[in-house]
Formats: sequence, structure tokens, C-alpha cells
Amino acid sequence: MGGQGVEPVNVTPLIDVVMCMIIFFLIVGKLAAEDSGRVKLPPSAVGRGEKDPATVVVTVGPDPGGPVLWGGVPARVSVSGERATDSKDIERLIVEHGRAGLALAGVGGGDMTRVPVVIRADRRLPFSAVEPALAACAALGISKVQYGTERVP
Amino acid sequence: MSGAGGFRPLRRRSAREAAGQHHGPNMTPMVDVVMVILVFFMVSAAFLGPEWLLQGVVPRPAAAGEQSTPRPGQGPKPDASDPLATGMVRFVVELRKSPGEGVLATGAGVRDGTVDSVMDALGEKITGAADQVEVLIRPEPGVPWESVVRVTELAQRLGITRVGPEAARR
Repeated sequence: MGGQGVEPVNVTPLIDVVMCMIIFFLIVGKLAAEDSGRVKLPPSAVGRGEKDPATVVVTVGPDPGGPVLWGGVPARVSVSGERATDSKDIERLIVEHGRAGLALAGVGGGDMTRVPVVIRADRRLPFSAVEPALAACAALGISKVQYGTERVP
Repeated sequence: MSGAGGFRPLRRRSAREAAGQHHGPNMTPMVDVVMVILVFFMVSAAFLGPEWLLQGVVPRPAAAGEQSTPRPGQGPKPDASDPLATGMVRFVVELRKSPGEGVLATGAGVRDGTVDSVMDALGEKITGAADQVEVLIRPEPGVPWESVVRVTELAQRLGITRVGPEAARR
């Protein structure tokens, strides 16, 4: 046996196991992220599917019994996964994430009005809870936003 | 003894022979990995769900004390910084919570109707001129977000791209 030289190591089981672990952690990560902003989006038959890579996602979800009131309603507002505590905070986070996104995409030259914003708000929430997010966009001069909706036929 | 002893090496040999007869690369690891990748994409697609992005416009916030109440069909305010004031015909769709369930919509000549009836009436009024029309949604604070999105969706179906809720009064 020693005369036949070293047998090559079979890496297939290793790749298999590592792939399974990667998938497991991706799914767990995804679930954890979803949990922070689980919203039931309003339905829509029109819209488009692709999202700009520099997009800042503002998620507005119900938060029964939560400490922060938005328009008199306990809700959870997060900007690209980071939770906001008041209206000024939404603006600050949009600027922060928007600047990073624009720099990554290499567009805009730091022009905040060109930050692509998607508002994913729960369909059952009253308008007053979503209004601060819209107001923050308006205050930053972002006149075009996209609403996250659930695609229906 | 000779039967069992002779059978085993025979089987082993035949397996080796079978492997030896198999020419070309070993496909098993590739199929393995491809299957895992396939399952991964299927699972991620199921998680992401069919999300659709609807384009809307955010009107400029009205300054304190400013009355931003143009009547339906009336000309826009002479304010260039307002994205919804660009020489277009402005329709206002007011949404308010009905005493029972649902939302009452007013606009385009319809009073306290459903959102769909108002948008149908709007569609009849603007035939062929959708690109010169803008829709300002004026929801009461308690109106569900779903209704605002519904107006946006129906306006876009009519070909109106400049549609947005009046928000942002600080």
C-alpha cells in the first residue's frame, strides 16, 4: 500500500456537509430577519419585480403592545433592518443606509434625492402609522418611492 | 464453506468489473451538489415570496399654515418644488373610514363610494389623457394602508404614474 503512494482525499462529503450548513445558516438568518419585520403586504396586480441594489427598505409592521407609537398606533418601523424610534430617526437611517447604498452602486454622487426607497407596510395598519415614513422621504426630497406589495394575478 | 468463500470475492470482483466498465467521469458528486443547490433556490424562492413593487410619488409636505386643498380637477398650485404640481390636471381622492367596515372614497364626481367606483369614474373622465393627470390621495389617519395602495394600483392601471398620498404634515 505504501508503495502505491498517497490516495487522494475524497472531498465530496465535506463539500456536501458544508453546503448543507451554509443553507441552514442562510435559512435561519433569513427567518431571523423576517421575524423583525413580518408584514402582510397589500395586494397589487401591477408593479415590477426587480429591486435596485442600492434600495433602502423601510418596513412598517404592527407591534401590538410595543413601546413606540406611530400615528397613535403601536408599530415597528425599521430602515433596512435597523429599528427607528422616531421620525427624525427614520430620516437619519435613510440617509445612513442610502449613502452606503449609493456608494456601493457607484451612482448618485451622494445625492439623497436619488436614493431608491421601498416602503413595505402592513396592509392592516392605518395610514397614520405609515405617514412618518412617507414624511421622512418627503423631508429628504425623495419624491419617488415604491410600495412593497404582494403580487396577485 | 467453499460456496460462501467463493461467492464473496466473486461479488466483489463483479462490482469492480462493473465500475471498471463504467467509463467517463463520476456523476454522483455533481448530482449531489446540483440537487442541494436546486433545493436551496426552491426554498429561498418560497421564503422571498412574490413581492411586487408599486411606484408612487411623495408630494412635497405642506408648510405650516399653508392650505394645500385644491379642488378635484382644479389647476395645480404654482409651486415648482412640488412633484405633483407640474402643470397637470390634479384629481383629489379623499379616503375616510366608514362608520362600519370599509373605506369611503370621494373624488371624480363620486361621493362616498367605494375606491373602485371612484377610480372607474376617474377612468371615464380622463380617457386618453392619463399622462396629463395626477392623483393626490388624501386619506384620513385611520384609513388602512391597503386602501391607499389600492388607489395607487388602480391609477397606474389607468396609466396615471403620478399618484401619491398627501402625507407629511409635521
